[in-house]
Amino acid sequence: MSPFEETWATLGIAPTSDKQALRRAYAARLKVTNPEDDPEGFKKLREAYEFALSLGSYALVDEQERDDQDSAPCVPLVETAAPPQPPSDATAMALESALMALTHELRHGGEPDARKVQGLLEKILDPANLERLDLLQRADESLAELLASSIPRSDPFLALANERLEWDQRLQDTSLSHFASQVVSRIHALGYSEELKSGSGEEASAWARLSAPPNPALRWTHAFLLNHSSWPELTLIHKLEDEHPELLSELNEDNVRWWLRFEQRPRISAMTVGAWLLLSFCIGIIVYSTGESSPDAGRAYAGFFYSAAGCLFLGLFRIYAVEWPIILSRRYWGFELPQWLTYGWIPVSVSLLVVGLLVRGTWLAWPIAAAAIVTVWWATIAAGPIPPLFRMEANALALKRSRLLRMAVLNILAGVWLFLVAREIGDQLGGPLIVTIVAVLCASGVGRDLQIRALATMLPTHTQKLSCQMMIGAALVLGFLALWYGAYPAWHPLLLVAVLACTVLRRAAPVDLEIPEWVYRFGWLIFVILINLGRGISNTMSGGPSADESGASSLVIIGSLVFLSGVLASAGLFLRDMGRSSEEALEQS
Amino acid sequence: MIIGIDLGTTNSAVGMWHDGRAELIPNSLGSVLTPSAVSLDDSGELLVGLAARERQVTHPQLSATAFKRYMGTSRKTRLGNQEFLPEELSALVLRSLKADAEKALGQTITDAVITVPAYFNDKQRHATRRAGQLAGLKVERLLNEPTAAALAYGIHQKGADTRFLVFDLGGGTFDVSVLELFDSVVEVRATTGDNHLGGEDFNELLIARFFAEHKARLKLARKTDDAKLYEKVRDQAERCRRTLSTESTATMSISWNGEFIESPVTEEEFATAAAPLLDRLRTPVLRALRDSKIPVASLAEIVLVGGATRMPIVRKTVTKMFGRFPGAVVNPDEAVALGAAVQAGLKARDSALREVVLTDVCPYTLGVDMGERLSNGTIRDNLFAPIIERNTVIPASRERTFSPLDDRQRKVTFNVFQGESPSCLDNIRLGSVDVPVPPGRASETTITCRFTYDINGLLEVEVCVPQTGERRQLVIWDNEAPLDETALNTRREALANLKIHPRDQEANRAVVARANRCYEESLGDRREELGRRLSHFLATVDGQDPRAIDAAREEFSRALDAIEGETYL
Repeated sequence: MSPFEETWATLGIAPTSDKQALRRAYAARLKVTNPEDDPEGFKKLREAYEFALSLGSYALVDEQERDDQDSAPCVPLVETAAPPQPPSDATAMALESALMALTHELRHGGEPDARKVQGLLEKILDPANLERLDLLQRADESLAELLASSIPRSDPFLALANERLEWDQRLQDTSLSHFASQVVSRIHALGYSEELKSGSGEEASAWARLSAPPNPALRWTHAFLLNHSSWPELTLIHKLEDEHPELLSELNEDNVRWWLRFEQRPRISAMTVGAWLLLSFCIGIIVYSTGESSPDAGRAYAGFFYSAAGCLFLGLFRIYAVEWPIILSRRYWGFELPQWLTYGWIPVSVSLLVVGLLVRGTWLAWPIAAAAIVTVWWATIAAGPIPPLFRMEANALALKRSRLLRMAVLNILAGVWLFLVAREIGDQLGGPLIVTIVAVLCASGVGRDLQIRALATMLPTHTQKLSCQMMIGAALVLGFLALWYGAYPAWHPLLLVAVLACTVLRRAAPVDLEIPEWVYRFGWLIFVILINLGRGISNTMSGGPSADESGASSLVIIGSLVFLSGVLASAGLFLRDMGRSSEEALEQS
Repeated sequence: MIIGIDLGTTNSAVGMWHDGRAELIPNSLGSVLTPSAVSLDDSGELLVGLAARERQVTHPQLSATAFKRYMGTSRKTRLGNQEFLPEELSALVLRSLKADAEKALGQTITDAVITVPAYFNDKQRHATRRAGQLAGLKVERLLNEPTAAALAYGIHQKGADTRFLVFDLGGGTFDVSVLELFDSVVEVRATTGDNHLGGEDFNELLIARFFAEHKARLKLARKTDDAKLYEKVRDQAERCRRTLSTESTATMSISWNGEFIESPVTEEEFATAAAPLLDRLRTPVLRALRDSKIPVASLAEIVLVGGATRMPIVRKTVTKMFGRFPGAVVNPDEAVALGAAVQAGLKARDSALREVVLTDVCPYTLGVDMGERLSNGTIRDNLFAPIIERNTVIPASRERTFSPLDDRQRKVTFNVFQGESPSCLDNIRLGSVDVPVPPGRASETTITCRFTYDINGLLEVEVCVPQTGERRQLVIWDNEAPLDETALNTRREALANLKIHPRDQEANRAVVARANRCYEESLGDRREELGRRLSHFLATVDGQDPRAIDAAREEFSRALDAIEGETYL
C-alpha cells in the first residue's frame, strides 16, 4: 500500500480534500483509537490526519484515476476558515475601513501617494489599537498579505509594518505567515541593496561593476589581473543567489553570465604569471652570480629561459592535464575529486628538489629546481591546487583534523629535505644555494601555513588576530635580517622575503586584521625595496659589499626556525585535539 | 476509584467523577480548597492545610508554602530539624488530600490524576509524579492545568463546535491554552505559558513596596533578614491584594518590635506597580493564538482560571487584550480540580464519558544540540536541532537523522534540550545520552535520534546507529537519576514516619493557629481579648466534650472573623 492509500485507509474514508469531512472521520476514528489506550494507533491516526490536511487539494485526481472503479467522486476543496465576522465595534470598523482604503491605494492606480499610505498605516498600526489581540491579528494577517502582494509598490512602507508587528523577530517561528516572511526578506533585500549602492566596500564596488553596462576590458582586468583566488564579483553573485535572488535582476545580465562562465573555466592568474617571471628572473640572476667560473651572461640568460619555460610548462600542465579533466568529469559524470590529489603538491615539489639535487651540476638541475619552486609556491599560496577554484571543494576540504594531519606530514617531508640540504651545504656552496632557498621557502611556507591555519580554527578570534600580527611581525623581522645580513648577491634573499612577507600577509586573511588591500598585495614588495635602499646606503657608507657566502647558512637557520615553530605549533594543537574527548557536537546530515 | 487532584501553588483540591458529574471532596474543615502548606507543630506532628498556612506566619521555621515553585529542583526546605525536597512537601499535601477522599468515599484510594502547569518541563513533571508515588498514589495521568480547566468547561458544551481560550493565572504559574471542541473531541490546539508568573509575584510587589517604604522603621538591611517579619508581611500582602479585588484601597498593618506600621495601598498604586507583570501576560497569549492559527474573533469564550484571575487588574488586562469581557463560566479556583475529576472519569471509562476524547499538545519544543561546520572550517556548536516542535499533538514520536562531525569521532553525545531559542545556551538542558559510532567517513555514518513524548508529557529518547544496530535509550537526567523502587520506598517510609496530627482535631488546630497569628498581629486591648478567648477555647478543648468543643470553635471563629474579616483560601 502506498503511503497515500494507507493514509485514507487509516482514516477510513475515500480521498477527499473537504476539511470538515476529514475532521469528522478523524473524530470518529478517535473514539476507537484514543490516545489513552492505544498510543501507537493514535500516533498513526494523527499522522494520517495531518498528512491528509496538508495534502489539501493537489495529488488527488491522479490517485483516483488509478483506482477508477471504487473511487468516490472527487470533492472540491472546501475552505473551512471561519468567515470574517462582522466588525463588532467602532475601533474594529475604523480598522477595516483603513485597511480597505490602503488596499485601494496600493492595488489600483498609479504611484501610491506616500503620505496618504503612511497615514493609513499609522492608523492601522496605532499601538493603542494593537493592544487588542483581535485587531492585532487582523492587522497582522491582512497587512502581510497586502504588502507582500504589492511589492515593489509597497517598498517604502514595509519597514513601519515590520517594526510594529515584529515580523523579523519571529522569523524562526513556524507560525509566521508566508506573506510576512516574504515582507521580511524583501526588507532585508532592500537594506542590502541600499548598502551595496551606497557603500564603499569590496562588495559595493563589485555591485557597481556588475550593474554597469558590460565593459570587457575592465571585466578581464578584474578577472585575470587583479584577483587570483577569489573574485568579489563571483562572491557577490553567489551571495545574492543564496540570500536575495530577487536582486539578481538588477544586475547586468551579460555581466553575470560572463562571470559565471568564467568561474567554470580553469585559468592562469596574473599573480601566477607574475610569480613565474619573478622566479625566472631571480633564478637567472642566481645562476649568473653563483657560478663556479667567472660571471657569464650566457648562463644567466639560459637560467632565466629554462626556468621561465619550466614555469610555463608546469602551469599549462596543471591546467590542462590536471584541472581541466577534473572539471569536465565533475561537470558531466559527477566525478568526485579523490582526497589524495589535494595532498600531492608539496610531496611533488620535494621529490622534484631531490631529483634536482641528484642531477646537480648538469643543466637539468635548473629547470627542475624552477619547477620545484613553482610547485612549492603554488602549494603554499593555495594550500593545494583545487580549492580556490571550487567553492564547494573549499568547504569540503575544511576538515580540521585531516588538515592537521596533512600539515604534520608535510612538515616531516620538509624537515627531511632541510636536513639533506644542510648536509649538502657543508661541502659545497655553489649550486645548492638555490636549493637552499627553495628549502627555506618550503619550510617557512609550510610552517607558516600550518600555524595560521591551525590557529585560525582552534583559537578565539582575538588570539588569532594577535598571533597573526605576531607572525607578520616575525616575518618582517626575519626578512629584514635576511636582507641586511644576506650574502653578496642582494637578490637571493628577495625570494625569502617575498614568500615570508607576502604569503604571511596574504594568509592572515582568515582573521580580519583591518589591513588595507594594497598592503596584502604589494606590502612585501615595498618592504623589500625599502630594505634594499637602506642596505645600499649603508653599503656605500661602509665601503662596498662583502661577498660572503655564509648567507646561505643564515638562510637555513632562519628557515629552520620558522619550520620548527610550525612543527611545534601543529604538533601541540594536534595532540591537544587528540587528547580531548571525542566531539560532542553533531552535524546535521 | 481514581481521584483527580489539583496540586496548586497556593491551594490544592481533590475531586472525583461520580454519578455522571465531577464533584469536589471537602476536607476535614469542610472546605474544598486545602492550602498547599505544610507545618510541623511543637511536638513534631505534621499539619497540612489551613492550620499550616496560619503557622507560616507564627512559625516560619517550621512551615513551608509555595513549594511548587521549586518543583523539580533539589532545593531543600528545612522544617525544624528535618529537610524536605519540594516533591516531598507536595507528597505530604497529596497524602492529606488522599486521606480526605478516603474519608469521604470510605475506601482506599490508590490511583490519581494530578494536574501540572502546562508549561512545567520534563524535570518538574517527573518530580510531580514522584510526589504522587511518595504519597502512595499511582499517578495514572499528569494532566495540564489549562487542559483540565477546559475539560471542566467543555464537558458542558456537548454537541457544539466551539473554540475557546483558557487563561490560567494561578498562584505561581501562568498558562494559556487554545482549544477546539468538535464531535466530542476536545482538541488542544496550542499551549504556552510562563512558569514563574502568578499571584505570588503580585504579592512580591506589595512586599517589596512595603519594605522599601518602611526600611528605616524596620531597621533592616534586607527583607530576608527576618523570616518571621517576612512571613507577616507576605500574609498582609496577600490579604491586601484580596481586599483590592473588591475595594479601592487596602491597608497592610504589621506590628513589629513594639511598633505598629500601617501602610495603605490604593488600587491605582497597585495597578501601576503591577504593570510590568501585566505586560508579561501578553506574550504567551499572543503566541498561543498564533500557534493555534485560530482567529481571536472566532473564540467563543475566554475562560479565566486560577485564583489570581479574580484580580480586577488582571480582568481589565484580559478585556483590553480581547476587546471584550471574559466570561465567568467556571469557578476559577475549582475548575482545574473538576477537570482532573473528569479526566479520572475518562480514565475509568465512565459510561457518561465514553464518547469524549481529549487530545493534548506538548507546549515546548524538544530537541538536541548539534554543531555545524562552516565553510571556513570552524565549528559552530550549541545549535538547537528541534525534534518535536512545540504544540505537536501528543503522544507523538519524531525522528531526525544526524552524522558525526569528524571522521575519527568514536562517540556522539546527544544533549537533550527544551526551549524555543535557536541557541542551546538559552534552552533548558534535560539530560544526555552517548552512542558509540563505527569508524569510517563521518558523512556516511547516520545516527537516528527518536523522541517519544507520551500522553503525560514525559519524554523518552532513543538513539540508534543503523549501521551497527547500536541502540541507547538511557537518559541521564541532570541533578538526579529517576528513583528506583527501593530508594522511593525508603523515602516513602521516611515520610510515613512523620506523625500526623489526628484528623478530628484539625479544625481545632486551624482555629488555634489562626488565633495565634491574630494575637501576634494585634496590639493593646484587642490582643488581650484574643488571649482571653484563646485560653478559654483551649480549656474547652481539654474538656474533651465534642459538642462543647464544636460550639466553642464556632463562636471563636466568628469572633476572629469579626476581628480580621473572614478566612480566605
